[in-house]
Amino acid sequence: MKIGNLKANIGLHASGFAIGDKKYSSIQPRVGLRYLVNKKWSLKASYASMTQYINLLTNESIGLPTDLWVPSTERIKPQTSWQATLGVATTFKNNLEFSVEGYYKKMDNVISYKEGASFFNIEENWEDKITQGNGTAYGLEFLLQKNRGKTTGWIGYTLAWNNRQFNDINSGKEFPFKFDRRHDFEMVAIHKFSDKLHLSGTWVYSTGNAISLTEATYTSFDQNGRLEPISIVGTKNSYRMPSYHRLDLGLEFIKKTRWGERAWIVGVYNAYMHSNPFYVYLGENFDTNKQEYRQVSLIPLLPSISYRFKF
Amino acid sequence: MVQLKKIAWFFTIVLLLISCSEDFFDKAIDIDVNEHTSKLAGTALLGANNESDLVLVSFSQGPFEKTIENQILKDATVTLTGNNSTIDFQSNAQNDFFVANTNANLNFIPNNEYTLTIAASNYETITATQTYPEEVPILEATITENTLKIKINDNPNQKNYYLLGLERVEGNETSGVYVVPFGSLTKESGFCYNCVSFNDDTFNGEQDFEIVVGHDSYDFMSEATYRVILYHITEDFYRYDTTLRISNYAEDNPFVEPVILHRNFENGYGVFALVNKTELIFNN
Repeated sequence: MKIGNLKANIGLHASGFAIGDKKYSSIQPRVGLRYLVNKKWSLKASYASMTQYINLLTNESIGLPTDLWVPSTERIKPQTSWQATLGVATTFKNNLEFSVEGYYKKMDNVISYKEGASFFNIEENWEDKITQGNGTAYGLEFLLQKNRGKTTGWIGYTLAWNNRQFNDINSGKEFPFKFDRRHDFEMVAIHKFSDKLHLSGTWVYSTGNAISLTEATYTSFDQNGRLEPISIVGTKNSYRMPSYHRLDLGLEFIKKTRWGERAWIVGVYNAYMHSNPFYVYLGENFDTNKQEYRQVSLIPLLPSISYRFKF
Repeated sequence: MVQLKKIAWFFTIVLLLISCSEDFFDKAIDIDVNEHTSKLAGTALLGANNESDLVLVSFSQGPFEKTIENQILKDATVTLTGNNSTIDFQSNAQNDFFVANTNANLNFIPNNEYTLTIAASNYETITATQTYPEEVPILEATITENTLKIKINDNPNQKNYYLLGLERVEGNETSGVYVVPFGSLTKESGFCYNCVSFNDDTFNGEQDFEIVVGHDSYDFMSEATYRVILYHITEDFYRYDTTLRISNYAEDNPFVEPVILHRNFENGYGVFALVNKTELIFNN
């Protein structure tokens, strides 16, 4: 729909899901608006209501990270959410685009493992191990893009907050989601030296995942009066893993052939070998006989070669 | 172009070789952890009977500061107020606990509030308040080779929380018998190794309600005397007991979701709990 400088996309999405004796249905209105202020500036706004019948189940222990997608069931309600955004975009110097967008998302019936649950424990029904609550995510996204010229690419930065609240986790208090990344930065550049040689680079940086750590110890006793040590985990996800960053590089060797175009691409993942944390554990330093947090990293540097043929 | 390819290959291989150092895959890291300020921590379980009314005073240490096995503090002031009186607890010379003055009468009155205060020099004073639960008599108890059944009347006007234990009585001697969950009503207790805990979510207000639990049938005797013990406990103690059970399981296991141990002391750690104990001795 277009009225003057205003363009609107208005939609209604309906969905249904049946499992066992339970039937779920939803109607999800969605609106997207764009108003052209002039040739260079535009304003954008959107609202979307969503319902999903598969749910992300994230392991928030400090150990092996696993993300599972699990379906809604007779007990596990579908996740519902609504999101509103407001943004502004502009172009300048004819080949640069800049946009900034704020967003707010409210989620209900998000799922999480209960305290003390383990995805390794396969004897227990997975539905007994999880609980449902709600969440909020909000932030600002900045994007600068260059689409023309020998060097193209974009720089993106997101300032974000992402919180969860469950009645039976963290004493019912709101806490940061594992993927609450305050800063998320991505820079992508592609330079065409010639029609035969392209160099590309991607650098990403993000705040480390939120984790829960032992905050204190004290001594308690059991029913027989025996003393026993107690470890106290502080507020859930109140600490941070080290930040994540890496550089990926790629060289593309292109050649036109009689039948089309072939390209050899030589790439390297994590070019400066930054040891990004995969998971964290509490281990003993045998030199000092003291406990310390240690991180396990997986991929130091990963070279790759690929071949592409276009015809 | 060929030269460029060679350079790219050379750097890739060199970087790959350099990167395979042991330190890359597993290394110590600094996590921004606030310096720990030591706080008082109390564990107080009162109301069962005067002999087992114990208070333990501890102090907290940061996870990397642990220097001694038992973090016990005996130089503290422990007072219980409620029912228009104040009772001082004294450090027991024979053990690590604080017990009520010998001339004090810990006569808890159901539905009355009691506040426990622990103070020590160089520490912030900690307090916790509990309401003494009502007595819940055991109406009937029967035991078979596999199960123990008891009947109780549950108060419909409030949420109730319980701990259940079992002993075999032989003359003046008693020996604990492990009771274990049977069905989904009961769970293992975190505080009491041979007890189960449960709440009245599923049977709120029912009268003559039958609770069925399993027990350790290894030393079951068909003709014996048993003592079944029911503790009517406060919500704080139930939550402490539940989170203690799952945190015991989670401890040192990096693959288990973290557990926030319930506490009810303001400005410190630990739990102050009041329990009303009833028991029934029966012959099988």
